[in-house]
Amino acid sequence: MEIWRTAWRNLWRNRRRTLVTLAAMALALCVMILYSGLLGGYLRDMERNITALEVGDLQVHAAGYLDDPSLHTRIAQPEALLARLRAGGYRATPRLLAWGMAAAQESSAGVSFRGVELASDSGVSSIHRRLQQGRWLDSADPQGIVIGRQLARILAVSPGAEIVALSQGADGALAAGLFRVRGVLQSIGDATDRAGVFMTAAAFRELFVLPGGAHQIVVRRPGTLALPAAAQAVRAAAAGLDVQTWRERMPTLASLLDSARGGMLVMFFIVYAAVAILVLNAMLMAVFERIRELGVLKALGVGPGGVLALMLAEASLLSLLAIAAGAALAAPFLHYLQVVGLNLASLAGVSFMGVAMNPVWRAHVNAAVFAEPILALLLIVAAAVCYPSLRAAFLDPVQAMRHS
Amino acid sequence: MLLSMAWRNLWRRRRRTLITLSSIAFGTMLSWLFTGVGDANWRAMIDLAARLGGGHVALQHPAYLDSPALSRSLPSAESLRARALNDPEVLRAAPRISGQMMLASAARNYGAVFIAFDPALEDATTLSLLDAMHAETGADPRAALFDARGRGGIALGARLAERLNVGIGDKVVWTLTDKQGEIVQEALRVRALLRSGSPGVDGAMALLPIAPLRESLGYAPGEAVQVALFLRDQRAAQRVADRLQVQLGGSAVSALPWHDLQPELAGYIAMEVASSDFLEAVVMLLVAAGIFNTLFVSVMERRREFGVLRAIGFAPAQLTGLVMVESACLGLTGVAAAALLFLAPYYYLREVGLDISGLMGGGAAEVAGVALPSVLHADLYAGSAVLITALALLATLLAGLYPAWRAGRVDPAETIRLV
Repeated sequence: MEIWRTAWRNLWRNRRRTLVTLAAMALALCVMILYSGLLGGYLRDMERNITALEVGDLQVHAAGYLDDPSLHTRIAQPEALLARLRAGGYRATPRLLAWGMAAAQESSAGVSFRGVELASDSGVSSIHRRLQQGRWLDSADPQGIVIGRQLARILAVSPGAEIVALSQGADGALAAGLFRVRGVLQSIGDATDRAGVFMTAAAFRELFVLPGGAHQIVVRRPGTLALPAAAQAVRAAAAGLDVQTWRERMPTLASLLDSARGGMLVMFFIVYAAVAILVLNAMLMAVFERIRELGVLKALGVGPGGVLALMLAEASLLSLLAIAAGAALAAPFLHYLQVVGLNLASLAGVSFMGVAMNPVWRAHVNAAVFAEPILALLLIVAAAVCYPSLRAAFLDPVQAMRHS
Repeated sequence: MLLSMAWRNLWRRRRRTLITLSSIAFGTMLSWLFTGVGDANWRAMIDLAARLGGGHVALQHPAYLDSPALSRSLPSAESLRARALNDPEVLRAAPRISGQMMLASAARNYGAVFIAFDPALEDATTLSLLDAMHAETGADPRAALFDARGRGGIALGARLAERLNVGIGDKVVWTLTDKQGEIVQEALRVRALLRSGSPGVDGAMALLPIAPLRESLGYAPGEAVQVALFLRDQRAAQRVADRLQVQLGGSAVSALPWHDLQPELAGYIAMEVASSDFLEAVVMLLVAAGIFNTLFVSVMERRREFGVLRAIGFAPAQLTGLVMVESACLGLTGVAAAALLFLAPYYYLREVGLDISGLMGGGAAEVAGVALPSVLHADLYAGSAVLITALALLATLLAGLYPAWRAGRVDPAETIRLV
């Protein structure tokens, strides 16, 4: 107890220096906490955009479809599989996919048609809430379609406009239909923005003369189940079909998201290295100012362990104060970033690896957001105080007392 | 004399000065390196984006940006091209027709993004896709787009060709809406494949020669949708665009810099630059706090000495000046040390680069459809280097202000008595 009192008093003998050191440590900690929270939010939102908007956690295709996506390569009995999956607590929806052309008044574009089963799709994907203009599909309006935002720009159409869809039906004949734009999506991802045309499954089946089957089943796992376990279970349920997780569908993105945490370590290192030098210098100055006094202490019989403990106690108190100040400083900013977020309207529509980034960047807050920067700070301070503390602990009392 | 006194003072506490110097050197070097990597990285991305389409500055119909239809063309693209080339900062200029088309084979049909270019005017330095083009013959890819009788064919992304179930020599039919809004179709032979590793290219791109397409679309000879301009330095894009807008004049054409053509990429780069500037500012602030600490303690230690100097006739301003010179010496020496430390890693990053493709699992990361460099290089702009150096010195001087002021304020009668 005594040692802590002494350490506390020592800390405040040079008030201004201690305050400056404290402020610098607190600032660095605050920045790292905010950074870590923003990064966590970014990673969470990216994964959410991938799984909740387009890809889902898992996708089921007929064997060979991904290598050669033909209208004819279908999952023959999707209903049975869907029922099995739903019984297991999974949310799942069938999708119908085809490519063709959409023509408006002035221009035309190659597009990807997607037939959606409205009732189950809204439980799997939140795309129906991501409209920039107009409304989502409605089974009462089979001629209504929803298109990607770049496509709307290329075709120069807005809700209400007519579009002619052209392709080749399953019967080999020309598939043509007149549709009306019901809605235009927000930025979803490169492929959907540029070419996505969503229609009801019924309208798709009629256009492409396709009575049964599905090209793709998008699956969301129950929240409690880890992705690998879910993949295993779905593979067992979907024998003979091709089951892939979103990580397998987008391997580069998955590994980039995994390595983003590693990038944070680099940031920690850089900012904290500057802190380490600061702390090292402050502690060294504290030792040399007091060199005579430390000599007296040792002459009075305080061993190296006692002096070391005193120095470490000072460093611990300094760190605790810095952590309290840094966390207190970060908390309101972090709260703001979590609730309001950074508005990236200027970035509207920017995609990373083809996946859209959210227009508002919010921080994700959990214990790790605080724990990791604090732990890193403690480690770096521990490293920085080693030399000054050992130096103080092993002073020669005779020489130290003569030091002027 | 102030200078030599200041210099000697600094080295009275060698260890402390060395530690402070190392923090200045560390902070400055880091900022140089970070900014250098950023400068090189963003330039590479901007140049790549320019070579993927549009150039650094594009001349196009004023309404094309909002709704890109083939009816919004530049009938006098050829003369615009010639006039743009007169600008000293414009290196190359290429007329293009680009847009979306539907491609059909006997079995399938898919949408594709197409670029029609003039093979006589372009190579891989203006159209990066030509690097990815592999013709059967292995001859010059541009010549490979034409058959023996000079008829133009088409190059398809490898994945797109696979999906259409066609190979080199097979026929595909493209469908487009022409200048009059009529739907036109034409069959072309696949003459080459594009293999770049980027899903956006391999799965969705088509290249074709511009001349035959002009005919099919009802364009006049010399007509194009866009003239892509390539500059000596991408940083001049806005300036050149403004200048050309005035020179080419009128409402029939607009000159747009790359960041108007690709606002997403520009936004991403702006965000990255801002966050690295912020990081550098934080590090500099920490360094400045360290300098403040050192100088302040060294002034407090020397109060007695300053009192003596005052007593023998030094003016307060001279003492303040002395400490300011000390802090300037610290700053300059720190920056010099930073320069020494900086050279080796900078040279390495500049000449060899840091391969980060491992972080991406071997794939290519793309932002807004533009691949991020998989090898980090550094190439610091002179302007950035000067700015960072000036800011580092300024931070040192600012950190010295308060200690210097305190030094000038010592009361000789009181401080001389201090033990």
